[in-house]
Amino acid sequence: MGEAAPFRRDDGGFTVDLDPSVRELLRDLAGQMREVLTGATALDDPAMARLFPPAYPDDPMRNLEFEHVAADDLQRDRVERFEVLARTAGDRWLTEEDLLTWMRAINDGRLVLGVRLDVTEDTRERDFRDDDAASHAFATYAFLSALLEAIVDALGDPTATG
Amino acid sequence: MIRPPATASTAPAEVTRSEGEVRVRPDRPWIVIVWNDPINLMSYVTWVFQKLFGYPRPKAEKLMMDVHTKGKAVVANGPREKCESDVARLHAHGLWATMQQDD
Repeated sequence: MGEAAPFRRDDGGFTVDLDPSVRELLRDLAGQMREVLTGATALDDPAMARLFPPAYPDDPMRNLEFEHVAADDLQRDRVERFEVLARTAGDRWLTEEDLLTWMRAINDGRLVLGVRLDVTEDTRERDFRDDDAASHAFATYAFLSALLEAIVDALGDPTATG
Repeated sequence: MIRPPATASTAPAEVTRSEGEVRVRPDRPWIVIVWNDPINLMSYVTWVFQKLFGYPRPKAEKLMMDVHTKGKAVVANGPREKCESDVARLHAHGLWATMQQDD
């Protein structure tokens, strides 16, 4: 990201100042996440378990009910949020609703990469120096973290009035 | 660092013993718990608590720090349906949330 804030409040929404390479990264993320969410391996994927935690860890019956309703809705919502991200990745201006969708989508991407890389709060780039693929994935994870911070900054205090 | 419960069988261990009691005490309120995880950003978690529950920043930051340092925090309570809705909204934001009846 450049010197200026990449997301700025403007005209009831937000201007988006990102390099074309970043916009391409977001489109790639949307494509990869579609595969994670709907692909054949989704059932056995630990990243999916992280995206859809149990509401009742000690009550399988109630949890099954919860999954039938809430988790199904959330699955649809997640597929849609990456459709929005793919469709608007090139936009110079976003509605607040679309930026909120970007925020959740980018955090979903971080969750999946974080699970894949088994990150802890102490994980650093040098931990992956012998593995090019993991090193690249961690760089993406770190970049998405910075992008998420920038969105949270731009949104500001959601309870502030006026 | 405290990791989130990895599987259904490992967390939260302390409620397992009261499983039978849960079913005969429908009057007890439900609580929503958010667990620490190494991925979610502190600023983001604070923002989500403010957005979803309307908490002022100091309260949201205190809850976020409790999650971070103590491993978990009770972020909401109420009837079962309301807590399920809160858990679903937290999951939609990628937070690790569970619910149980208060001891």
